[in-house]
Amino acid sequence: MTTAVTALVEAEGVGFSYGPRTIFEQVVLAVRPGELVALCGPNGAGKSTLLRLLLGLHAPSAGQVRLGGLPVATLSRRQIARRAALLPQDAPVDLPLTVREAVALGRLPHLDRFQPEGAADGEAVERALEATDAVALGERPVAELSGGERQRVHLARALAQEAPLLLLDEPIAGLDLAHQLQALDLLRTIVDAGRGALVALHDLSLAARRCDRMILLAGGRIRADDAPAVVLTPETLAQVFGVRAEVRLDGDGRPFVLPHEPLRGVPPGDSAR
Amino acid sequence: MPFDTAPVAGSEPRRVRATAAELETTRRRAAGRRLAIGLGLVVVVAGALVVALLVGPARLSLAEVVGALGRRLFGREAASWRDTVVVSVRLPRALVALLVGGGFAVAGAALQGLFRNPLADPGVLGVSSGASLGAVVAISAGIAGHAIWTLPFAAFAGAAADVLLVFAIAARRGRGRLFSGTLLLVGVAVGALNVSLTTFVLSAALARYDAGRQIVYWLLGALEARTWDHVLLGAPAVLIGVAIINAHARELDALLLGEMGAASVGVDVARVRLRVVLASALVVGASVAVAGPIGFVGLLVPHLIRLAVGSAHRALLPLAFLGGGLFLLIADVVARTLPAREIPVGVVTAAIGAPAFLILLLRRRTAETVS
Repeated sequence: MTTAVTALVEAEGVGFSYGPRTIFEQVVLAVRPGELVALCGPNGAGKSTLLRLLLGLHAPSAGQVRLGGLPVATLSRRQIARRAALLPQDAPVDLPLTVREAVALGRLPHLDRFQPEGAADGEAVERALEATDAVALGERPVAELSGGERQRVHLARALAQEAPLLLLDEPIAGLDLAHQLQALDLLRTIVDAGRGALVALHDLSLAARRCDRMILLAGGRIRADDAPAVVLTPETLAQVFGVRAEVRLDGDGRPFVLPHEPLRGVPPGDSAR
Repeated sequence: MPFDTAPVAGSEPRRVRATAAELETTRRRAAGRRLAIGLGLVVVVAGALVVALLVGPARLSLAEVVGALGRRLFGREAASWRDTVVVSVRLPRALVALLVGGGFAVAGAALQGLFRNPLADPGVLGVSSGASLGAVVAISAGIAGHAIWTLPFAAFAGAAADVLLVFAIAARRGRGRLFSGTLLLVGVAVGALNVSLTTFVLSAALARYDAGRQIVYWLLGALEARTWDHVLLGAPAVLIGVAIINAHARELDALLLGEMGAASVGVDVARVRLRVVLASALVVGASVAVAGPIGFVGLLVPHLIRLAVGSAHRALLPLAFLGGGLFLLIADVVARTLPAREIPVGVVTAAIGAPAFLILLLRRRTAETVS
């Protein structure tokens, strides 16, 4: 990890409490251009909350977040949207817009209130549709698409935003295996072209296959932040997820997880509450 | 639909791929269609306006109507009492119908989009029932007869009081923040309170025949005896509110992505919600103030327009304004020409609107994909 490149997003000792409940504390992380980083952890660990916090949608109770070197608290929503695009987990299924209209919403932070969309906006939308292989869907209503197609459209919307950082909250949840792989490969291609991405993922093996780094968030702390081969060990999986699991290497030398059984006791995600 | 035919790794299955040229054609056709519908609506509205000026107890010819408008427009002397009927009776009444119908439809479209709820209508935050309460109190207290503006003013004050109350309660519950769900629930509760108070005032007023009759009639929504004063009282608030809503068309589109999605593309969700709700309240308050709580325009018309041009607000809002105005104007002409003695226009809009809404509902493939 070079420090010469300004991180697209940095969390510096960030903590977040909801009323008397501490969700997490002392979170330190950074994502740089060209990095695909997985954010993993048990249910309720605060992955979605952390992503929202990085986007300035919640104020941290301690520490601060920087987007492109500037404190997120000093940026307007439009300025934030030009630096980072979020793909929320609850993207609506029944979006009553055509694919093109939905993707064009990504241009909103670049347009003044009464400014019509220009050639640059049209090109950005076109590039985003091409990158996600969604050109042919252009005039179809989003509500009529399948899960895989819809997820590509939402990703295209985030790409059209032309923000250097992508924050994705479980973008492959609910997709079948082929579409999960397709989505992650697509993300890999996009990141290799120069953006940075932080992706909340549940599937550790898939995360290990395609991501440069894995960050484990559990029990209110960052438990690991390193290359997948370093992060994924039976001991870590026992501690963080409360499962007995094997970690093996596939033909390409990448680790994958073979879960056996939950360890006795409460899963760590719940004990964090 | 959990499955589709997207490429499986390694083997790209054959799928019907539209070429870029075909897509461009589709897009142009969609844009052309929106423009054609817009221009078509303008023409139909103009036609309906002429019909509205022709129809009434006094039989007038087209030449007389056009002559009256021309003489008025060029500042000439009125030729006869017929000019007065056209210019001072029928024209302001038709303009109030266009204004109020358009206002209700735009407010309904904006609120349906904002709350992502197909059942949202101008009454959703209790604004129209608040306006009704204000008007009913004014009629009952006998201050409505003093000047033509006292009744609209009282109605508008009722609407404003309702909005302040709803916002205060919702903000208190949200610790300073306004949440959609809370706003809707508080709106329903305060609206119910408005209705019960209105009924109380009405039942107390029923002993006096005149006040009771006037209240009942007003509550049904009417355009009878609307004058240029009503046009001038209603137009600024309605048009300013509509303009504010229209200026937020892109943000309303983004809100269809959900609150997180909208925030992600740079929308300050809380601010936009506050502005659009206040602008809608302005429109609805002013509309109810000059025409009474006319139902179904704000609920039905936006859905009809969406069927024709989709949900993107840049096309939806202006067309809803035209469509709402047209709907109310036609309903008023129907109300005036029915063989029975004149019935309130609110009865006609509900009589047309309720079955139309049901047909719309039954024809939809899925009931969920409305908003």
